[in-house]
Amino acid sequence: MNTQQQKPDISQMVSPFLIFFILFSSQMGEGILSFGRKITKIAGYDSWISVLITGFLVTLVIIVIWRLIPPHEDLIDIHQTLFGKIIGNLLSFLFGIYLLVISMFVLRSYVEIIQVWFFPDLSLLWFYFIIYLLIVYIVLGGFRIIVGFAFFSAWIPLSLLFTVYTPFKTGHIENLLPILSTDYLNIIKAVEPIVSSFLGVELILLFAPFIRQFHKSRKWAISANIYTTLLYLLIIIADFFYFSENQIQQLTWPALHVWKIVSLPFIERFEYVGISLHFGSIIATTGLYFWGSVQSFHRLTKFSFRGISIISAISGVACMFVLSDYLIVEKLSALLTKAGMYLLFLYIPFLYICHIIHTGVKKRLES
Amino acid sequence: MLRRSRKTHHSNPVENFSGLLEVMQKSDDFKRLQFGSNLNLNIYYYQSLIDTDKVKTNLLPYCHDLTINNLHDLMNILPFDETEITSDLKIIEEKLLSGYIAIAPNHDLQQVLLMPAIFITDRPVSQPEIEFSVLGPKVAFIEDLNTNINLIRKRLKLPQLQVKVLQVGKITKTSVAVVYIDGIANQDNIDTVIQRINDIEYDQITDSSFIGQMIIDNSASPFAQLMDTERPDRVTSALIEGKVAIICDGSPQVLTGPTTLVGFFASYEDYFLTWPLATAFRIIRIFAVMFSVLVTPLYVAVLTYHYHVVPIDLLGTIISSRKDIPFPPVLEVLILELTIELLREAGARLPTKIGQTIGIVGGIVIGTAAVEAGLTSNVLLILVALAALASFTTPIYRIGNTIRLIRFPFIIFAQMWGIIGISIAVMFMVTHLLRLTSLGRPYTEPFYPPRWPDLKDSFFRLPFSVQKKRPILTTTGDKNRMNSRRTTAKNGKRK
Amino acid sequence: MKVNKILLTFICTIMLLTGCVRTTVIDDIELIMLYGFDWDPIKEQYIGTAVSPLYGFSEQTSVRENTYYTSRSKTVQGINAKTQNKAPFQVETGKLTSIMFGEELAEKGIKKILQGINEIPDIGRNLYPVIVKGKAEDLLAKKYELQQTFPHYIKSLMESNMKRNLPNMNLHLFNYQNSGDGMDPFMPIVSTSTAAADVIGLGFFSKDKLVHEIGPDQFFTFKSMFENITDGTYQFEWRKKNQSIDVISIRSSHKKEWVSKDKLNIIITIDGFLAETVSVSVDNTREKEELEKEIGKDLEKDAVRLIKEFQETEIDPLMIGASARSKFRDWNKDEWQQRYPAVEITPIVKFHIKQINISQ
Repeated sequence: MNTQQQKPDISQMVSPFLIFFILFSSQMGEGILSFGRKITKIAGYDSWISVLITGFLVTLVIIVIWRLIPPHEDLIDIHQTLFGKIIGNLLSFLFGIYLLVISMFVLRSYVEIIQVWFFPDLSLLWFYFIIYLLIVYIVLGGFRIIVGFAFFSAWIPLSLLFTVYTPFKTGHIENLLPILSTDYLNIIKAVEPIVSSFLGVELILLFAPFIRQFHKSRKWAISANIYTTLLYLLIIIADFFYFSENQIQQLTWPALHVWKIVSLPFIERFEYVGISLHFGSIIATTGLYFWGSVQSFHRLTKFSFRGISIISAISGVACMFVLSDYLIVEKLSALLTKAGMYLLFLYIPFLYICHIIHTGVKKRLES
Repeated sequence: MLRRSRKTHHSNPVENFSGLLEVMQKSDDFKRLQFGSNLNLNIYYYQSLIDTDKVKTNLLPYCHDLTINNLHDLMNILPFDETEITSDLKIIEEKLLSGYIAIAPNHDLQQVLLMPAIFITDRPVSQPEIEFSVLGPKVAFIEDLNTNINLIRKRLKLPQLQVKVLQVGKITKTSVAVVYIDGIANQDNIDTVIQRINDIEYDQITDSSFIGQMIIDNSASPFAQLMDTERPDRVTSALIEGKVAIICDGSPQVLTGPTTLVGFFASYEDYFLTWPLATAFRIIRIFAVMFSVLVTPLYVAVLTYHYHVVPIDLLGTIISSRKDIPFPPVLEVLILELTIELLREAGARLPTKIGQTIGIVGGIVIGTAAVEAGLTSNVLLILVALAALASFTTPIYRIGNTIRLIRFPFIIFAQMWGIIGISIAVMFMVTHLLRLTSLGRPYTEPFYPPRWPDLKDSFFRLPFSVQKKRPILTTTGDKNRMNSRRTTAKNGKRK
Repeated sequence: MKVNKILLTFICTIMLLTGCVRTTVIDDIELIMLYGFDWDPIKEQYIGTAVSPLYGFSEQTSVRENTYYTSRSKTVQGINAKTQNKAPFQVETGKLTSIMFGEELAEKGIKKILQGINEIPDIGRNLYPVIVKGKAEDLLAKKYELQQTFPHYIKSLMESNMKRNLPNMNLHLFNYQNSGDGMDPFMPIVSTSTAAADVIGLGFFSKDKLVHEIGPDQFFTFKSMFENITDGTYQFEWRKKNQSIDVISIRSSHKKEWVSKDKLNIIITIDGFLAETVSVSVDNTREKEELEKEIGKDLEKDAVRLIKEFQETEIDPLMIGASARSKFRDWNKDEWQQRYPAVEITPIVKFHIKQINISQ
């Protein structure tokens, strides 16, 4: 049950439509709570247009990915055929490291919220230990289990959506007007901070062979991306209805401040419940990235999947000593956002061009 | 589990019938009679196993018949069906031990005539007690295997209903019947069950739950992975859905599988009500279970860490009720939960009448006294009592036990990290459920893997007109429910 | 197996040693539910008064009491820390219902206090900022005989008043109007009364300083221009018949219509019914229309007076600047502030009588 094969057999594959939940869960991270601040700093009340633009660009990336991947192959195979064994494997290794760092970072940025809101004196070592125990428990179940977890967690943001009622009811619609009052350049610039909330698409490069009839599943990936975009749009517009431009820039997590005002007959201060529920999404995202990185290391080396995941988990627990300073976290955040942006909008198209040239040359040689 | 090393009396070889007699005569209830006129006959039997009247009225008169010259003559005049003459020691031993009389002529102990005179001690078929339903049939399985199969066959007059009887248990040699409908049940499931039962090596199998524990996929899980029921109608329905039933001699509980988690929250009475009612009751039951598991952990979390979420109108009530209590909320909860568990255990172990008294003593006297003495708050007392009540709403007793248990890790997590802790515990549980399988089929079906058609009989119980297809879970050979012609055996394609 | 056991013991030990975080058990904390701030001009520091309710056994006491702590410091956190010196349990501010500012402090500016409050994640946003006529300490330090605790009383007072008289206001909205462009915040004003506290007015801020006040008789006019009302009352003197009529509004809506850059119409539509009109008896269409017009005119007159006051003191609680910002692309904050007092703002009230009373 716990053994993982290099290439999946039918018992580990999942239905094509589950790519919807996989993609949505891997995109849904801490970003949904904080990106309002980051983009408003650049493009003000017009930054909701940037969300739409990013959503559109990521859809293009998805289309490219689906054209790039040959049947039953993943990124590691592509690297090997395009760049040869040594350089290809090196690139795959770097990709694995990138995924591992993102998985740590997603968790770390959420633990930050827990520390601020719940327990400033949280014992990180113990907390990380339990969380990584959970992640390893999920990941060792196999691809189906991690997808199952992602499937269940994908409903959480939907169930939290009712909280936008208050901003839409009491907020000020005229905040959004007049549309396009900022410079066009600013709107384009604001794409950068949002991209980090859309990351997760690159994981498909590794998941592809695990999805039955992969080439038929593109529509599900695109609809997941559209769903994410719409959700972000709804959240950002709710934030804009609710906060003034100066106010939103001072709030680290604007969405949590919206929750502060929600009070149900039996619960006040919904943010405490909301943070706990959203934690499920975070674990799903972390788990998917973690699985991706372990899988790429597993494919590259001869070590067992189990061994690598335990080693990765230990390094994840260890990283909290490095990532203890919030300034380092901020710096890493900026760095990862840049890396993710280059990966999506430069590297994947670049791979695609290489792929086209390669197949063209191969065809000519054959004929 | 294997006890090969220990030698039992079975391993001593007995060479001939007299040798066997020697072993058996050590027991005082083994009797030997001598009769006969022409032919001197020895009659051997276990007094405790046979019906003495039968012997007196049916056998003795014939023994004195002068025309009998050998055993074959005797066999021909005896008014019994299952008589046989054999020299196979194994058969003789087995039959003697299951209530047969052995008759052997004095001069020749090689040939033995075996005659049934079984004394049936089983109770009559009675009402279901664990899964009682107000509406619908009121028959429950009993301990006798044949009666149980009879109860099923009466409801399924179908030649495709097949029973495979296996012998399990090194010493008990319990008969275990695997029942399924050929052509509907998936062959993989049948093979898995039969193979796993054959693989059991243990000296005693006294109840179906022994088998249940030995053949399930993950025996370390607190969740039951085979449904056990005492209702023949429920088993029949499961068989028609393409599931496999396991009946164990001596056990009034029949196992069916594969099963899913939601299956445990479906009472068979749901099918006797109209579907809107049935659906509503199922949803209530599932909420009751969630409430039962989560309410005390939430109490601990909120009172220990998150006073923010308590509405201001409730704040006064909660603070006032806890004013004099010296323990932190987690201890208060643990004490009360353990008290309830204690009452439950005591109530279950004691005879019914004393059990009621225990309920009154526990519920009223201890509860009120604990609040008055300032050991627990009355808010908590209400919550714990409600949680206990809610855990009884499950139709299957076994899952109720699970709910009792899994609350405690939740409480510990709640004490550690408040609501975040509960959310972590839920995630652990969800992962565990995702990893579970029942006879190799996913346990969380139809939610994950999402099989929308199967939702028709899960959370909801939609009308029968919608239930056109058998569940995907069982991957039956015959998917359609509506077309009766197709119940005839046909090994359809597996999906 | 042995290794597993050692590991298990190790984990359990860690759990016992480090698993715990600081607990705030609900009955072992000093729950501060009201904060009052005053300004001490001599020592140049804030005086904070924290009120914490005393909960007894619910069956035994019908009258709830409060304990209060007064401390002085230059920052909010400092006040918190000093309150802790006096309180027997750890001080927690997670369930504040209201923050009160003394009149003097409000006039001096409350920016620093607000910043301090806003930074604490424990504190919610659904709490009421209130100005106290005189000193906040005087109001909070008094003993009251109430059915509820005093903080709960203030919360209920605000909640029910905001349904009827006062425009909606809470800490979040105050922050919003304080930080937004083209708008200014306001707060209710309370004073000590025989029962406990009364709402006696509405105080308007320019940035963070109190500059203007209105009384209860102008609440309805302001509320109808500020937001949509679902339930409000307004007293109307019908001079022609020498009668006073209570107008109970069912619902009202308001709309800002810009005629030009310097001309704004605020259109208020009110659907209401009349109370205490037994002696007036409106029974034909003409009389009804006449009455509707009269009430509209009366309201317009009040509204014009109110707007003029705002323009004179250069405050914009009606968020006219924000409305202009959303309307005109070339809107500029500094230029607007110059222009605001001269903008021609006309309120137009359309009143409809929907029902008459149960008694004819």
